[in-house]
Amino acid sequence: MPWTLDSDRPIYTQLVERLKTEIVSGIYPPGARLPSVRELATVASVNPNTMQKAFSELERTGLIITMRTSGRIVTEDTAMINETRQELAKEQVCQFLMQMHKLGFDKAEIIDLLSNQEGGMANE
Amino acid sequence: MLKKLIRHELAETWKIPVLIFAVGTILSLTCALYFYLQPQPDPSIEVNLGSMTIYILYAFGIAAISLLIIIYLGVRFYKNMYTDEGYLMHTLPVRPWMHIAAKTITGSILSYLGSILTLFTLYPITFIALPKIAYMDPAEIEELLQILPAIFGESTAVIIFYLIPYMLVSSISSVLVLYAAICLGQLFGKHKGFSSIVCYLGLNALISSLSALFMLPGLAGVTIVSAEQSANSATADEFLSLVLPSMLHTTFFMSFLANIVLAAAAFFLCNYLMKKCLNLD
Amino acid sequence: MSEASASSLVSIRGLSKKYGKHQALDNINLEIPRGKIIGLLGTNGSGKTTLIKLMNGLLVPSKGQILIKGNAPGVETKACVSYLPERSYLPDNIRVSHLLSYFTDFYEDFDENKALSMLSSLQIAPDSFLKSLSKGTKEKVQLIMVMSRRASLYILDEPIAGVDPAARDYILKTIIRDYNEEASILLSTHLISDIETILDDVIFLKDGHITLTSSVEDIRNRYGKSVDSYFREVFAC
Repeated sequence: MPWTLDSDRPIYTQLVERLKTEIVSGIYPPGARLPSVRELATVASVNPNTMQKAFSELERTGLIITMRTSGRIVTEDTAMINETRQELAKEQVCQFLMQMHKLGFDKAEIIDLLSNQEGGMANE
Repeated sequence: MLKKLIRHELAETWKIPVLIFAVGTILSLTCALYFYLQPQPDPSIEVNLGSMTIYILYAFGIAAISLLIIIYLGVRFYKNMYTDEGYLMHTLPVRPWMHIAAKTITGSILSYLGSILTLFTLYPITFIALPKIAYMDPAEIEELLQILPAIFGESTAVIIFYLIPYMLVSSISSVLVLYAAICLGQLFGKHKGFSSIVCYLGLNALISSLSALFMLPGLAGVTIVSAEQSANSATADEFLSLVLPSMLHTTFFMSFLANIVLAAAAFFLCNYLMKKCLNLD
Repeated sequence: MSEASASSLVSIRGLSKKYGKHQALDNINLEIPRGKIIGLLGTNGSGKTTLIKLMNGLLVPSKGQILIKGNAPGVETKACVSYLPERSYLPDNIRVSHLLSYFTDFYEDFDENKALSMLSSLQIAPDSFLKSLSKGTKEKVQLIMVMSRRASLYILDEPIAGVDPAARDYILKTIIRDYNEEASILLSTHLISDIETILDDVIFLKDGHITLTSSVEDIRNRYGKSVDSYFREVFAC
């Protein structure tokens, strides 16, 4: 299945996000080998150059390391992965808060909603 | 590359012509058998209408073979080079002259086979059939068999020997003229197929007219000479046995050369049009 | 000659084509580098197919020139350009294997094994007659032939129009999988949203003129919308 991507944002940024999410959530655990640019581009149904750019960005931040012979692997640096996890979470929270603000919720109401919701989640 | 093109062309176009030839051969054999088995007509009867009708129908049938082959080759060229299939053909890394050459070679072979078939069926059967259509005494039959040699001044075997390369050159030029007509037809934006047919008829008419024009001096001379000599029947016979054969020899060789020139001209025209004026729909 | 054009795969200068009174293409200037997947976008009648036919030597220009790897369209370019026309150009009365032999015979860069394996993965028997195949299957066969060549330039004219979604996915995946940095792919289509994500750059063609050349990312960055949406805006009647 091609990856679902928003049509109004650059593809490259979305690819970087998605790859970070998959690394952080353990789909690609520390030290795991990543598929080649071409394989992933084919699965995602995106341009290989764009996928390459996304990989390069992750390499730049150190999340991915290129091994000379065995392709690309996820870093073993769990601290960095955690940091990334925090970053992604913060972004989500910011967006969430922005949306809730639009709906007219203040902080107390939001916390209230969250506690009740969380309870609901625990029962599932 | 050219060999490969020829190979593909033959593989794709042999079936229908061979079918036509097979039908023609069967038709000829049947006809030959019929006339062979027919008894000689009674001397009192002028003409056996039944047999004559059959002969005429047969002659039309054999003529149709050549026509069908030409139509088939024309349609094939048009379809393969200028319709959707043209997208495959013209994107092959092959120069236009090779396409033309490949189709000319295969087309000529098929057209030539058709001509040979006609020669070796229509003419023998004519000689078998004529005595069965109208009564002929043995002397007349002998004369009949000698009519061609008398006109050409050579034996039947020699005539056929000369005809074989002549018919080949004639096939090549007629096929190339056909292809040139189709290429010309492409220049007319809206009605390409129809224009091709018009061009073909036009080109053939032009060729016939030019041939007649060239023959005119010779024919005029012959007419004048025969008018002068017609009074004296002895000289008329002389004329038949001396002047006519040499005139026909000349005509034969001139026509042979003309076909070669015509073939070359048609080839260059086709190549030019395909190279510089290609406009696939 | 500038640096850019020296390494360009395709270099088009001042190209014009006129049919009688109708100006199909007017002063087209275009450079196509290697290693890119480029979309040629425009409405019907914008001149896309004319441009493509000119690049393939199926039409003669009225003015200007096209150079592919330094050569004008001819035998040399046809040997390194792999073209998938919009229409089916397959003669009906031959078998798939005969078509394979055509490509093997005339194209040095044709990889027969690759074609055979793609055919078998789609369960198309090589000895089937082309006329017995459905329209979608015939399109896939044509695509397989075209993509099995190791060409320098692939020109695909409406490769996914009139084809079911599963076949569409297959075609797009084949294009991505076969991508290599030495070659470029020029895709002409009006179904932009389906292929936007696989394109590097796009060219907008309107009434025989190039109105825009840009990368997909640039358009999304600058206008905050997909190329498809932006296209609709630009070409709105």
